[in-house]
Amino acid sequence: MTIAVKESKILYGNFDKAKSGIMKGSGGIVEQGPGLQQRIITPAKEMPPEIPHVEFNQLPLSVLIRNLTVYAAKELSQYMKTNVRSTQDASTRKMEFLRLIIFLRNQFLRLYVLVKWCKTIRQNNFHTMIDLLNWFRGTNIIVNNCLLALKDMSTSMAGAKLPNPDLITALEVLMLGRPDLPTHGFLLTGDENGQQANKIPAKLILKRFRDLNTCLSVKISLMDLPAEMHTYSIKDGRITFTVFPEFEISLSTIDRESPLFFVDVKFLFNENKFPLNTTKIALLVNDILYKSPTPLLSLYQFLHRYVLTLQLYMIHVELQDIETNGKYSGGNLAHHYDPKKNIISLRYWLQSKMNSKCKALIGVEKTSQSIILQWHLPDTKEEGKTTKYNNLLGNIEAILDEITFNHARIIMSELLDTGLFEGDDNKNDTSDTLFFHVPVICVATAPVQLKINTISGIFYFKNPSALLLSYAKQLNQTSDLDDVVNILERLRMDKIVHILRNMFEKTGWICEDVVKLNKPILYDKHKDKKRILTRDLFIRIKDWPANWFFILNLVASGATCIVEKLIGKVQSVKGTWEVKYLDQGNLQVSKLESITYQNVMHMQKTIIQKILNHMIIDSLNELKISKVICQGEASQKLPAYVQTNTAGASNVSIIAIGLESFLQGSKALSDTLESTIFLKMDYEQNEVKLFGKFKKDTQMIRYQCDDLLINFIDKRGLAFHMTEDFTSLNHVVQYLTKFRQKLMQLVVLTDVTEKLHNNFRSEHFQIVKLRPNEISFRYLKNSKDDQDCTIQIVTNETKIEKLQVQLSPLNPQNIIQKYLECDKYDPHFIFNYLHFTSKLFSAVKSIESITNTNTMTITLHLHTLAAYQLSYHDRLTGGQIALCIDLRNSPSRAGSMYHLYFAQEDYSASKNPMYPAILQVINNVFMLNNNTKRKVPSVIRLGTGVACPLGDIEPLLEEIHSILIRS
Amino acid sequence: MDQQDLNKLQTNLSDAEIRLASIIESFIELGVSVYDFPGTQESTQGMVTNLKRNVERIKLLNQHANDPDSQLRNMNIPLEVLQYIEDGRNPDVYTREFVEAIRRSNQYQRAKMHALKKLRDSLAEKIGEEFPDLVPQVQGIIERANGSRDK
Repeated sequence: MTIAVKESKILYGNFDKAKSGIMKGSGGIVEQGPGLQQRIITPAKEMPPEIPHVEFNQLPLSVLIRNLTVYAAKELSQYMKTNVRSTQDASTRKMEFLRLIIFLRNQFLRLYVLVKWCKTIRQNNFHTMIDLLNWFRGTNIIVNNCLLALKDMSTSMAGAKLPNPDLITALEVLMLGRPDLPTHGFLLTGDENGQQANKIPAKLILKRFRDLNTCLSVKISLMDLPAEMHTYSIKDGRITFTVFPEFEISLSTIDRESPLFFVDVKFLFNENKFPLNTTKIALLVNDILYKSPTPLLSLYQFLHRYVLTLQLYMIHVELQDIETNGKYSGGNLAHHYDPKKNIISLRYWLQSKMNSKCKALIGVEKTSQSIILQWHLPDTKEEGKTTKYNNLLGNIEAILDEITFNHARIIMSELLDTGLFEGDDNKNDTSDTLFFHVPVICVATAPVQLKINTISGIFYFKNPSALLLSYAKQLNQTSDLDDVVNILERLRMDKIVHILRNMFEKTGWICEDVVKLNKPILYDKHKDKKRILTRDLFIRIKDWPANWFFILNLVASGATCIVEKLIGKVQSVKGTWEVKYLDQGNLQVSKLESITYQNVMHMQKTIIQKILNHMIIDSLNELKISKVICQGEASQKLPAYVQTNTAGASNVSIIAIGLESFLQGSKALSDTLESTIFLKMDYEQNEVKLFGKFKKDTQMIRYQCDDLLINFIDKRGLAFHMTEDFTSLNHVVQYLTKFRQKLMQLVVLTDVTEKLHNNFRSEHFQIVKLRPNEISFRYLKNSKDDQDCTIQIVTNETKIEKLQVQLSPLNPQNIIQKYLECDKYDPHFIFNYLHFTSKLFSAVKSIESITNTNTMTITLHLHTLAAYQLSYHDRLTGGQIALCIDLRNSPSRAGSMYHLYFAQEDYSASKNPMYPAILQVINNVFMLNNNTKRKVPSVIRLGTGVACPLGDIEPLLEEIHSILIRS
Repeated sequence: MDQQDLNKLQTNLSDAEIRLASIIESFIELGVSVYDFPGTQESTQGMVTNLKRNVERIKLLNQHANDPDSQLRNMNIPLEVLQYIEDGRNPDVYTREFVEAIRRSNQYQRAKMHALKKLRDSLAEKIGEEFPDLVPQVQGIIERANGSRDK
């Protein structure tokens, strides 16, 4: 200890930082006092043991100095030994030596620092500090062990099963390992078994009881009693209040001055289902009785509330039982118990979509101070109306049954009000079934029973089919009664569709499920009306043209259903179905009940005609052709030429078509044909006919052209028809195109023949052959050929591209053929030219035929289309004459003229044996002052030549020819 | 260790310090002369003389330090201090940290012991309350376990 004291003095003496701290030996307490004052608490007798000295990890300074000096001397001598005779160069050795010196110097420097440090430890007591720290460490371990032992103790105490949770028993168990206290099992209840009970004589006890009874009677009569507690009995020294059906409480007292105190309580409603914490109640009750100025009133208030809370809790427990084990188990019922607000909110029919309306509230009613169940009537018409139920405890399930049953009845009656249902007339009023009439065939309906499961609130059909099941599912997914009605209407509609489909499919129709429009055809018409359902049914027959349907528009409202029949074309465009054509005009409306199998069968036969009509109309629409269907009265107004052909035919339809639009706007035929043409479809004979009529008698009518298919109805009349047999209904449009083509050809032919007639105005003109693109005709006076000329008509789609004129080889005008081929002349010009030169050629031909003998040869040469030359060649004499015939426009006269003259060389060549003939011609024909009688009066004498109009070329040529031949 | 020894220790330490200073000084001189060594006989001789003198000084330091009368052998040096110097740190810092560590340990230990004492006292009081018969025994235990009766 002295050492310790000394050392502590040393500590304080040397180190200001260690300002306080006193230590004693092991087991002593080091106390920290203020300043340098120290207090040592030590028993006088004993000295604490010394702090154990530690020498570990320490070396004396002398040893350190010795080690370093020896080491330095050794290093130096070693260096000297090894390096003096080293072969290394001087500078390396020098550097190594220098390194050694510096190293040693550093080592001594460290030693120097150490010595300096040692000088600071003036008392040479650093080892004491080491000992002290070491001792602290050891002590720390001991204290820690102590704490750990305490902790272990507390852990092991936790496992000890104590008879009483108090310190007495705890220590007893700790010390003895078992409870064995004299107070063990000692009860403070004062039972008669105790010895002390026997010490009081029974008489005294009875007397005390009687005194107490009197005392209580007096006391109660002086106290304020709540109305509910007027029923009481005083017996055995206690007063018992019975508040039925809530509780029974017994109180007692000691004397008149003392307050009442609690003896016993019994609740009259719970049949002791719950263990009561009587001790706690006793405490609370005693507290009230002691403190309250009106103890019994307060007591009643307290117990009443307690009872209400308890009852509510019991209801909560009961509800829990019903939810988990009762018939509402399986998630049909849920409740939330709020113990703070004393409210249970109840929800039933949780699986039904209507559950938002299925609510009830259990709580304490303020006015009656009793627990009630408040059920908000789900009836939408009487909002805010509620029903209250009392006496809930034990009756919750029955009340729930009543609520759900009433709720179901309310829904039923609301549904019944919609007029969609019929109630169950046969049974009494409590029936929970609704009868919904669904058609089974067109004319009859059958009732379907709709019910509500009162436990789950779910709609279900009795004896359901798959369809009914699916609809029951839909019904249960809505909360709105209007939706329910809608769903049921849809169900009815589905049934109707089913029936109709069945009927049509059985009679050979095909119902197309693929076709689905975005909205029903009649949607727009009915969309504003409530409770009207529309549905389209697309049906067709196998060999109908594609995309054409017989469309049944079903319009249902309530129990009535109307079927509108339409014909339409529905096409899928880029995946969506669109109505391409709809027969809006001929809407047939009939009731569902009127649809019978006979109807359907009959329709099958008659409808094809309509379909085709519509199809043609649709095709015509596509081609933008104006048209009218001639039916009924309109067919009576048809022209006679059409009527005579159609009279009596049943499967015939006639469509009047605007000619101009039919020819795609071409007006070419407007002058030729009547503006309306008629298309007749004969489905019996599979024949399509086009009727038309010429406006006036044209040249065209005279010629029958077989290829044009045009048949004139009578030979004088102007009406005609074209006929085609059709094989497939899909190709009707093709025939229209063909007809149009033929009509276009007719236009062309009419045009060309008119032109020909205009140009060849002579009795010799005659059309020999007429084909759609070829016309052969004769126009020459003495033609012996079949045809003098053939015209090939080259057309493109809309107009004549060109006319190719081909002259017959025997035609004398054939020599101009090459000119016609070479140059592009206007057909009008060609026809005109051919016509007006025909006389020249016929004259030449006649001359040739007469004159061409062995001695004289006459040939016609053609220089241009306007310059001819007639050559005479006398083989006997070798004489030659060239008579030039030029075609010139006369400036003074209208039209062209022939100019005849001899070639220049004929004048000069006087040696020409035929020169006299030339002279004679000049004198007789060419010269003006000639007295000879003129054979051709219109001739103009020009001296060197002669000119004449086109028509007079023949006599003039004959005159000149005769002169030339004579000479 | 009495005061006389302590005084002698201080004297020895001062002596050793002076010796060490001269040794370090002569090592520096030696280093300079080696660094500037011109290689002449004369300079070699001078350097050897210098070296010899230095070795002599080292020898004397050793002799004095290990002299039986020297107190230096009673001066125990913790190896941690050597390590501090070796690492180039100030050994006084070591001293200060050591003292602080002791102070911390002391406070910690004191608080723990104090707490245990309180536990002991309150346990004794409770036992005394519950078992008045056991009071003498409890007091005996308290006395044995440091006998602080001043409550």
